[in-house]
Amino acid sequence: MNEDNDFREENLRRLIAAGFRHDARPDVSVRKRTQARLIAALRARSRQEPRGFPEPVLLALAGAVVLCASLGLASMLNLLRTVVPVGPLSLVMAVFCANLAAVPVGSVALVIRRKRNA
Amino acid sequence: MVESVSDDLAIVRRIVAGDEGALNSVYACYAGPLYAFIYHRMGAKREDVEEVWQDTWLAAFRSFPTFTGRSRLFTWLCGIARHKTADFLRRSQRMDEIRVDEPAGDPASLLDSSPLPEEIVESQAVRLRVVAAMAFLPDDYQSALIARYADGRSVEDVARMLGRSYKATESLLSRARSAFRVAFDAVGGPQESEGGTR
Repeated sequence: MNEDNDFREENLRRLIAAGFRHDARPDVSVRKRTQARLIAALRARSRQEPRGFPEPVLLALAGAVVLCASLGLASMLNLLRTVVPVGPLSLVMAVFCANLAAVPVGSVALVIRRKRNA
Repeated sequence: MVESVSDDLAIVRRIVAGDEGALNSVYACYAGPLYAFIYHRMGAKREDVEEVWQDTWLAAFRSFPTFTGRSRLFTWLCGIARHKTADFLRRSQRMDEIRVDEPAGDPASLLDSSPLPEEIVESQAVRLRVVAAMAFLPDDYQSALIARYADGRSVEDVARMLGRSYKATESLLSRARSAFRVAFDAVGGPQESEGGTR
């Protein structure tokens, strides 16, 4: 049994020595430099691509869109004639339409940016 | 240490999400074995191996978002390394140098009972298998085994290097040997059949 253990350890020693001889291991400075390059690349990528949209802002935008849509609908149904003046309502509707128009433009911009970063 | 394909996928997802700790831990575990893999495949000068190894890491970093976890992370990294090695040798017109010789007999079956013949220990396929087995061990097991057996350091030296007591190092080495033995059995051949991502 002891002899088997000796064989096992000696065989492992020879295998590991053959697989990981000095030449088969990266130089410490090259190893550190490569790691630093990877970390720098990770940081650069994190800076370029915001990973998420802040939730409160998202909620506020969604609320604004719902409000605009409700106002627009109410206006079409002639429910707001006596309550809301036409000028501010037109402004709100213009903002709403501009937001809608920005969706396809924003999507194209995102696709182009991702292709450039790939 | 990454235990399974799903752990590999989880850690890669953390890297893609920008987690530096995850990147450092993958690097600590695979930097050495990946270098050895490229070295044994190319059998080239140090600067050539370093160039391919760095290209492989950068390509892997760019491709992490495409890692689906269908293979182990180290196998996937080796796939990229194979492409990068082939590109390098093609550029330097040495494509015919990639050859993986197969040893006669399975070294795992001989490991416990008799001294392994020199031609088995030194065969390229066995060296690649040793590297693949090592990649599946935690980095403290790797450091201990390499310091003890590849560098021939004493247990006291290894203990000092790892900042552990003599007894704790002996126990670590014993667990590392058993883990290596299991991994060596499990990895089989030199993983030539797995595909990789460029």
